[in-house]
Amino acid sequence: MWDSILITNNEISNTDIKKIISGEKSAIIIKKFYEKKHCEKIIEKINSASIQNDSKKFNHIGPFLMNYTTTKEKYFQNAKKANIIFKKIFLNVDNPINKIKLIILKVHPNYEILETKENGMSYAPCTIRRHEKGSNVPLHKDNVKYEGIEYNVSKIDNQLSCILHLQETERGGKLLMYKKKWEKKFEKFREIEFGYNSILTKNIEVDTVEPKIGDLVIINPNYLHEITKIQGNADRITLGMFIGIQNKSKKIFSWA
Amino acid sequence: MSDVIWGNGKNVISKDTFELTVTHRQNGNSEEYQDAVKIIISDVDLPGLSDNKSNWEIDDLQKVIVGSFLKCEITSKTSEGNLISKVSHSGAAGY
Repeated sequence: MWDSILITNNEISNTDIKKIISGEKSAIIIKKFYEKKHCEKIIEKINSASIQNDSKKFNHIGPFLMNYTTTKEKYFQNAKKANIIFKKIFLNVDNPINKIKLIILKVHPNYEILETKENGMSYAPCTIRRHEKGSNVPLHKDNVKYEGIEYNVSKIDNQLSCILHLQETERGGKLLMYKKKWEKKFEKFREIEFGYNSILTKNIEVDTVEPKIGDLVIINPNYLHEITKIQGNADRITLGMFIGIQNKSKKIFSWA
Repeated sequence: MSDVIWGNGKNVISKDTFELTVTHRQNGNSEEYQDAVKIIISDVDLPGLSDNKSNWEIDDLQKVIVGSFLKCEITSKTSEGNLISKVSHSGAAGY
């Protein structure tokens, strides 16, 4: 059955990870992974400080590698700035990045997790995204091995996407995970601006994940997914990062 | 404003020319474009392909062009009707 693995005790297993990598399950949802009071503190800091967004188009903090597929130098420049901003945001709160890395490392005991760098430059640790009322995220996949080939993090075996919900919506903003793994032949169904035509998911099994504050959602982002339209006045605010697993070298990378 | 078409790379013909299956056309293009056109690359913004044309090999082009969704900004046309264009990936940026 295409549904999520629900975790209530903060303990995931390697089998859980394997199930989302293989497409047996749609997502891992770790309930109340991050304390509500820390989520609120982060939101407070974001709202009060004058923090520069990464682009005029999106209300996000931190560069997203997929926006810089051919402009690597610019990505690393912006990642450097973002690293300073995130240090300020996570000051005096339980660092969510470290917490996410730790839970991934726990299920890969023989692996080492590295501070991901390329030519001495650090990758962005995460992206904080704010999606406002009326916005949605169209059907898409994330696959660094395809679109991020100019970056070293593309040399991985498996990619996971970790989304921590910092603020939940009143309605909408749900993650729809389709039981359909991206293949290159889907490129003929691309939309000009972003993502894919919904014809690809017609009659495809779908699992819905509600955005709940403090929950950590882990998915295999190479499966087609989208975010439904945000309704009500509360923005959907998430912290997102990717985890890359390299089996031969037993290394784990993280980036955004 | 130059004409813009989008589509999927089909065959690589030479080190700088390929066939494109056209799927989208910009509103207001000055010309009509058929469903299959030949593109001569004048400028490129594709992950995995160097900016320097002299470094390109057919294999490199095949990897990044064939099957990929591409944006072609047409700058001119040859007497044979081939479209000289700036070629970039389209639809990949994050939300």
